[in-house]
Amino acid sequence: MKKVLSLLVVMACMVFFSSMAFASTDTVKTINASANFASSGEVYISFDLKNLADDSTATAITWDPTAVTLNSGTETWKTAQQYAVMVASVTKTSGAVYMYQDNKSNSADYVATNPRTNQDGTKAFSGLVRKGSGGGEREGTRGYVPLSYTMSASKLSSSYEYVVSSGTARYFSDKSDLKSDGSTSNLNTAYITIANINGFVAGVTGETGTYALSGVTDDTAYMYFGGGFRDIQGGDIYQTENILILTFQE
Amino acid sequence: MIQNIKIIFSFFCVCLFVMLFADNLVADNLSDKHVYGLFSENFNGATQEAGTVDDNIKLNIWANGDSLPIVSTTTTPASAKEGNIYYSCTVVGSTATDSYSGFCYTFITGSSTTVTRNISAFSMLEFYIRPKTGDVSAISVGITEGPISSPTDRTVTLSSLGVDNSSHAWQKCTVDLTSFSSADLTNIKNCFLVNTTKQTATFDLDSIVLKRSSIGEFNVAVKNISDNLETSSVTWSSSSFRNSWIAAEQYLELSLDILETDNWTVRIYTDNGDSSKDGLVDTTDGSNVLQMCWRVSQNTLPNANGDTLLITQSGAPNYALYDSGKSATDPSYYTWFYITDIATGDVTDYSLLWDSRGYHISVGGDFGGMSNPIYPKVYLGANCADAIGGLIYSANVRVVLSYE
Repeated sequence: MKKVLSLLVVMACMVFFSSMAFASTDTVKTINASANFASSGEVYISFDLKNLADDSTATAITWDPTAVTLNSGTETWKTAQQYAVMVASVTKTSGAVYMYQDNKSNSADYVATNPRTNQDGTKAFSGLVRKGSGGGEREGTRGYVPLSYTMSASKLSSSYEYVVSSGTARYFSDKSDLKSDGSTSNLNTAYITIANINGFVAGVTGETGTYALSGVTDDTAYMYFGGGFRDIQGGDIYQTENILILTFQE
Repeated sequence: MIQNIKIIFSFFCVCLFVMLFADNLVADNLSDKHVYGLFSENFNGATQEAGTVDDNIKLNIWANGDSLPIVSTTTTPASAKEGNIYYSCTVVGSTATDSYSGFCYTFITGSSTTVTRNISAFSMLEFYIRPKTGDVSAISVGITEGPISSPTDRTVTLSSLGVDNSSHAWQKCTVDLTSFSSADLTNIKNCFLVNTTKQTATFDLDSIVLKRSSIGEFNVAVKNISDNLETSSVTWSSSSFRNSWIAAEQYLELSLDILETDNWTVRIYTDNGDSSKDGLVDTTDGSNVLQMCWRVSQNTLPNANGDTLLITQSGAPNYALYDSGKSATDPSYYTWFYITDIATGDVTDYSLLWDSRGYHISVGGDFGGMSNPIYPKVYLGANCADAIGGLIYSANVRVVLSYE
């Protein structure tokens, strides 16, 4: 019993002295370091239209009428004859570049006074407006040709055929678009944002989420435009005069 | 009247400048420090033949019959106990009657005038010895008490201090000054004394210090690079935005006056709560981190030796950080260390800032000893290339002195 007790005492002493031997004393000094970039950053974009055929500078977005089938009965998406080269820099957390239409501000021939109804019940004034129609529902009045855009990190071929269902294409929105109850603005920033702090916005996931366009180098990306043609008749002229590209920061 | 005020103000400014400039040159470390370095590359103290009023000592060597001792400095960092330099000593005794030799540190003023000084605040004389050849056991060490005209040596033998002559490793010696019961420590001529009598031996000495019984302090001051004035925090200017590695506008100045054991380290970390947050973290949601780095130097930077504070990063695979203009391939020039968060622990030496080997010069494993005044400067850098406008980034930087 004594031996066991002695052993325990010895062990206890060993633990005590070993803990003494290796006990570490720390003196800690804490300093705050900071970088205040609250007022730093920029939101910038250049947007240059070019002709798909020869990369020459363009001033308007057009569609080749011979490529459109008249009275087709089904919607067919056609690529515009122009594309845009964009260089953007968004380095501010709240910064973004938005793009949307303002068809109510078109001249009299192409002003949109009546919206069309989307599948989800929302009211849209976006797209190309048929001359003299004032817009309205597509059936019968043929008031609108819906517009879409898609972005690419690299330049696409001049024969690119517009794909609206790829998941990366987005419909144009109009600043006067309304919610399904017709009450308030339906401008959804997820759908109108073409660049933000994450770079160019490639598409939308769900109703609000956006995802970045991968593979972008030198802050340059390319935008292509699609028109959804259906029931077009000879003599129809469609046009929009107001596509707004604006920078935003708080 | 205005003219007089101008003259008085100018005189005041000149006096202030002189006081600031002269502060380090005439610093009375003997009355300030708890650890007073006599031959130390980590602790402030005396300077040999510096011509200053207070902390001025001189190495004196003598012999009678014995050969004159050879006491020379050797610069071999890997072999030194502390820093880069140690003393290599050779004493050769003779058989002549009353032969002796020795060497000491003598307090002086001006270029060589011997004085006595008050070391009564100190209770210990500590040093390291490494016996090499011969027998050091009977060699005595201690101090010399005044008056100058009739000095008295107060010594003990190395064997009484426990020195193992057969061991050729560094051995710590502590001379208890209070054991010299009748000595007047207020009137000391030689603050470190080695006496030999007919002994023949070679040995090394390093890290010779006087120590008080009370514990000193470890302090970290924040100072502006621009004017060296003390401030409260480390900042990066807004012009750092979207630039890659940029040095902060301030540096940390360390002051170490503690030597409880020889196993001490000073380390630097961020303390941001997660190993991944090893840098400046945005204060909005903590999802954006700007990597940080640090380097330490004995003197203020930038300097004329190419320590530019212009941080450059090499490519793969090292991604080493060095001052612009220095070698991108030689690790001895990688003076900047990526900072680690305290949550990561000490898995690498990237947190090690200073220990008995001196300040951590480079990733290549180089350490540097220092000379008076010893206040290492720590510079911080951050990679602001991916900084986001509208955000404020912040980090808790911890400097930790640990000793066992």
